[in-house]
Amino acid sequence: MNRKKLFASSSDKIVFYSILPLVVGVLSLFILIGFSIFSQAWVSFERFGTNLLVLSVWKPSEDPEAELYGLATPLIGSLYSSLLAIAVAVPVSISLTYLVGEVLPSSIGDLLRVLIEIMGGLPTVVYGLWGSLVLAPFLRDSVMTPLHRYLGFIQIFSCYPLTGYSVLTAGVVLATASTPYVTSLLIEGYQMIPAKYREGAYSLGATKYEVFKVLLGLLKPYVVAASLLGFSRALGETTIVTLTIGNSMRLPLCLFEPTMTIPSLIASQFESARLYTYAMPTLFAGGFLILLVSLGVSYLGIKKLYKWREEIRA
Amino acid sequence: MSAYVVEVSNLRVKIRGAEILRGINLRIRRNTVFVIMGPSGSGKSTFLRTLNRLVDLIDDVEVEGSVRVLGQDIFRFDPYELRRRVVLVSQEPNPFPHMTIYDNVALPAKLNKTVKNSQELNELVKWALEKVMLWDEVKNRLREYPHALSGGQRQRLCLARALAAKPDILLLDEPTANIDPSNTLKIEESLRELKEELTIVMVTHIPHQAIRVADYVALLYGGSIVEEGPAREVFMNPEHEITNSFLRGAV
Amino acid sequence: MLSGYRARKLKSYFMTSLMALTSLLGVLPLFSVFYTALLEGGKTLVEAGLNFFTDLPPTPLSTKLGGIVPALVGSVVSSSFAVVVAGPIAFFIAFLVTEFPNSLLSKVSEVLVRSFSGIPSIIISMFVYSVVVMSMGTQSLLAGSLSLSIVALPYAYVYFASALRSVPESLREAALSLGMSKFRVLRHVYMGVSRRYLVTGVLMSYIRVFGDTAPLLFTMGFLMNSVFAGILRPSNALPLLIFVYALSPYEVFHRVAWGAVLVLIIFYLILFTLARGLLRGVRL
Repeated sequence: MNRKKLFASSSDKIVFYSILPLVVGVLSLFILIGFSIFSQAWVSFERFGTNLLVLSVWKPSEDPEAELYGLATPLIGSLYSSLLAIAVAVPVSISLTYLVGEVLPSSIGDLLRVLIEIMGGLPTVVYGLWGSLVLAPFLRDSVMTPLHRYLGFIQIFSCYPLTGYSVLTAGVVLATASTPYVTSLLIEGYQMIPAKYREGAYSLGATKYEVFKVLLGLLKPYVVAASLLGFSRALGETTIVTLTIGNSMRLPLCLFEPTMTIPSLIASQFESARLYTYAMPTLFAGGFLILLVSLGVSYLGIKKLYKWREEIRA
Repeated sequence: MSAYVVEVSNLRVKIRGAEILRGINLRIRRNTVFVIMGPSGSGKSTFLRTLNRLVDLIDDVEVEGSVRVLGQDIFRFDPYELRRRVVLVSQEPNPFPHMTIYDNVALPAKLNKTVKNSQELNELVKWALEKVMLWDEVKNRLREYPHALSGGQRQRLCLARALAAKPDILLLDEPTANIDPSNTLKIEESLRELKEELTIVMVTHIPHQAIRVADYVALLYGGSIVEEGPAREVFMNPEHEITNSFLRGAV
Repeated sequence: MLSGYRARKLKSYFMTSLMALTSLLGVLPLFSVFYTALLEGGKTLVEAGLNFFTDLPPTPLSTKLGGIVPALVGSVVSSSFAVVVAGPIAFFIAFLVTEFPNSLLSKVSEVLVRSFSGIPSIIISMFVYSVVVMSMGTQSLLAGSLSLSIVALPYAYVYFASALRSVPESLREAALSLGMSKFRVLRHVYMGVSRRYLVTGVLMSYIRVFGDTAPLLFTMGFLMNSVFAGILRPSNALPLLIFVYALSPYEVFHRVAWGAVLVLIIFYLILFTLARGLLRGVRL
């Protein structure tokens, strides 16, 4: 196969070079975003150093010398709530993939997929409002209070649920919002598995569930990739968490306590941070850290995804 | 026990509106090799997949007529139980890529719990791989994955996997399509031996292969059986001109 | 039948039921959301009437529900702006990548645009704040719209790229062998063939930015006492209003928020149906 020349004609050249500036522009924007966030964050990194990651405190002050900030709680809260979300979303997604892939007739399966698509595109603020005004009181009364009463000796159930705003509530609503995304990825991957393997499994007399187990084994790296991508998205989620996590600078040692994530910290403190010297930079520092982790994890996920797609075609 | 393991009467199969099988009538005797011959597109694969109800997986399929396997109407049969006893080997090799060679062959026995301990399992795997002439080539590589094998080896692996399921009826769709001539002959010999234990229904489009292995043959053309009967008779005195052309390789 | 087989079948039924239950639990929240929104939002809309779409928002202690018109105007304007600005950029980059798939620039673009979608939208808000709001000295409709444009870009790109890729190779070959240049092919063939996908892409991008809150948090402002103050002045947006009101402790704000949520959901469902309805007619 001979290599195609990039430009078959001069008119192609014109097309290429007239679109080039757009790409350069977008690239510059990307770099600018990274630079702008980092340069503001640097002020805080320089001032507080590694204490930013270790301490958990939010003490603004008129006097710059007296200001003290530590992002330990929001960082842990972010990771914790996103992990919870994925831990719930992935099994649900796998179940849905099983139903759509093996159990339901295709007409109902398609309907279910549309339902999932609707769920996935629904603005997150809707989930947030519902989580705050409906789910939080419900979880508090039906789940948290009984668990605290009867199993309160276990660390994670040991605090009294006052409002229902907690890492648990945030995790559940995040899971609800993440499930459609992860599910659509998994269903897409499941349908990419060549039909011959499915046929081969059924031909050996395997039951629906056994066939699914075999094919799921094939899908495993893809499931990991989808989990990584879902985790990355949950990390950056703002509206849902701010409305359901309680926004308190306390480490979530107990599931029912209010705590904080980086985005919820930023959302709740941004307005007032303008009045102080190091508050804003610290918020940018938090943002920068979340940006790094989010981009890093999603990059990993995408790489894994593409690798699996290539291998499954072989 | 009936002498016939498969009795098909007026079988019509439509897929997405197109009639693939137009009224098939045949009977297959126990412990024989029944070969279905015919040019591509004549419905041979569909017929096999009807016998094990794999066609159920297709969305828009209509099946009419009567198919009795092992004395029972297949539509009264639980489909999974049916497929456990009537095992199909597809034309395209499909060993599960994420399972080792050993695990691939062992899978049916593990699922069916037909072996009691790992020693029995090892023996079963060895037996199956020997039957398909693969044992010597992979006996030191059992923990490797199928992608390390050639196309012909993969096909034999799938055959071994099916044998390890110890089916009553073995359905083979062009089983030696990717296999070199000398191994092909050896596998054909294995199949002739195996018919003592099970019944084999095999699809092929190679006339010489049919001549070598078949006890009975049927020629499928355009969805209908054009001619059928004991292999010797059909080959010596083909009645239908299509059979004639097919045997001479013209179709 | 062997008894061992019955056990396997039972296990399969059991696992299927378990998975069905889990799936139901996963989908249940959607129904709860819709139900509550209909109930609570319905109460608000019935009480406020059509004024909900024409009046200004209430004060914290007022007894009248008022309306959400500044948010509606702001949302429509900013979302349209975002799609109009980001759409063409996303489209031409998608065109570049699908037409010149082997060039370094295409590979870079592909990675670049997908990386954009990995940026949390609140980061984009902070960025636009520090670059636009700080230099302008005020939050504004423009800043909010720019924020939404950045969010829309990778989203529209993915839709447009798959729209262009869906053109069958045979059509592309046919056009090129008639001597048409790439650009001509684009105009005369692709746009026509993939038109439905393209429009769907535009609609879906519109829905996406219309409902997005985080990019507007520090950029849009929160206009309450007039409908429209100019593109360089603060404005409002539907999801932003819902968010701020939900966070507040005031009962009347919560009720307005529910009404706004119902409006948002209905608008979302209408656009969604339109976009999918278009796709249904596509036969390539």
